[in-house]
Amino acid sequence: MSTVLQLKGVTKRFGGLLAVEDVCFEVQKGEVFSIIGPNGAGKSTLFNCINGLYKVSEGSVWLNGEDITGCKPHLVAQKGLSRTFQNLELFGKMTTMENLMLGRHLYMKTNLWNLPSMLWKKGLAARDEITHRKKVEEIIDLLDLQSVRNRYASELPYGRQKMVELGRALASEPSVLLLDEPAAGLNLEEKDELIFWINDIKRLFDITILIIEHNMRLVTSISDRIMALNFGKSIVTGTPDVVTKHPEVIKAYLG
Amino acid sequence: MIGQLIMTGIVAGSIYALIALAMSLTYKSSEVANFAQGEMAMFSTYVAFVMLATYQLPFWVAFIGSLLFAFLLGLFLHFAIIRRAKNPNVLNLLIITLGFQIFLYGLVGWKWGSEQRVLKIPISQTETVEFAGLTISQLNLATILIAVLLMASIYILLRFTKLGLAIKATQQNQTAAKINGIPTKWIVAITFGISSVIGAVAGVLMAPITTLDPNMMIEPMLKGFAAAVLGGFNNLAGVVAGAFILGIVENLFGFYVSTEFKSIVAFLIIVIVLYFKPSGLFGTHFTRKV
Repeated sequence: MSTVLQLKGVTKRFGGLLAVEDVCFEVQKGEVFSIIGPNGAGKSTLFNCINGLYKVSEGSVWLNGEDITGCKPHLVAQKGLSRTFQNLELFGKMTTMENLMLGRHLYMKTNLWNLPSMLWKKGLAARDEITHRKKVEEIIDLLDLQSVRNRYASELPYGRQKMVELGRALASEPSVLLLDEPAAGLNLEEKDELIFWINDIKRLFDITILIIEHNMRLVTSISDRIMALNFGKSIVTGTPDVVTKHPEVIKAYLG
Repeated sequence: MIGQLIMTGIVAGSIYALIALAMSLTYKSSEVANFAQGEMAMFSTYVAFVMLATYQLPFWVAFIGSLLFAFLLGLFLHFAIIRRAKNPNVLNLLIITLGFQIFLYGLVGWKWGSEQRVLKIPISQTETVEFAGLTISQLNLATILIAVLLMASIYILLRFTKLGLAIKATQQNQTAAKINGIPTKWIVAITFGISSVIGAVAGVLMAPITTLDPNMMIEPMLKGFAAAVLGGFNNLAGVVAGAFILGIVENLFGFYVSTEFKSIVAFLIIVIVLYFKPSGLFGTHFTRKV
């Protein structure tokens, strides 16, 4: 086992407010690592610090042995970290297919000077498109998105939009995937499917997953380890059994 | 006769289309209606003029040189001015571009004076080509061809290339674009550059028809903007269609009704269209980007 993601004393301040304080953890390759905690505990802030949307105030973030503290989000994405958002960040006026194709953006090669190749059936442009389409079709099959392939993302039901966002994150073939409340807003059936898919993704893709989630049934059934966060501080990190029985976690969160 | 009038309308429409396209491209990626677009084009045209008249360079070198200059000017506007604004709202940005417009207008007037100059280009204005019973000057034909070619390249760029995909993604959702590995800051800057180049092409095509002076782009710029509004600011194809409609209607009106009110009719059309369809002829309704 090797460490894929490591946080060393990550702290984030907004003016006088300490949103995240001295958080340290290591995630091993292939692990599913969940972060739980009450609203406002700093979970999403922590994700934003990891992928560079927020600038870390103190501490450092390491991805695959490389210090990525202060890297811009597009650079972090290029280094193999992908994510989804609690409130969805989709391209509303693109279809499901196009959204997923955008996840492949990093691997695309066609430029304007490849113009002649666009006219040729086996040219670079066509080959490029075919490779990416194949990859995207695999993900569409996996997440059962066939029926909404050509519909605009903004027209889809909420649960489907979440799946499109997950699909787009997978399309970029990340080594680390951050999922911010993937089950929020899903109905019971969709939640069961999500558990199934996350296990599938873990098995099929060579991937490490971090999840922020409130649904304890989902968290305990898929996580290898859990970290509980309260007021920006880590209370405890450990296996689902240890964390759910921890007195402070019960007091702060489970009630 | 009517064919000839429509033809002349298409020539004017091509110029409007270029400016409208330029404005619409930057508007879509930054929500800035860049009112300096016309003056940036005028400045770039002066750069071509200097390279031709002062340095005696061949026309194509001067042309490419001025386009290169235009691209850098677009980057400059984005990085040095627009990005410097602290928490700007749409109105602030609009005022900033107006300020940049006045600055460029003054700069060109100070450097080259306000007299009318001649931009010599190797395409004739007096020699004509005839086809299908219509007569068109070589310059006008070249104007249409170059404009159409440029629009086709923009279409191919946006539709088939990696950069085009990045531009579309940035226009729709910057956060999502960033987390998919797109450097949105640079993409927006590049759209400013591309827009500026499109404007400069319009400027160089315009200058021999009118004359080269600091006022040359004011009217075409307003018409281009009007055409963009007419077509629906956020729909590139609609914007181009709007520009051709405007050019043709204006020209027909000028001949059959009144030459004096030729320019006014453009704005009259826009008022009427916006009264009945506020998002423009082909635009989708505005929803706020979050």
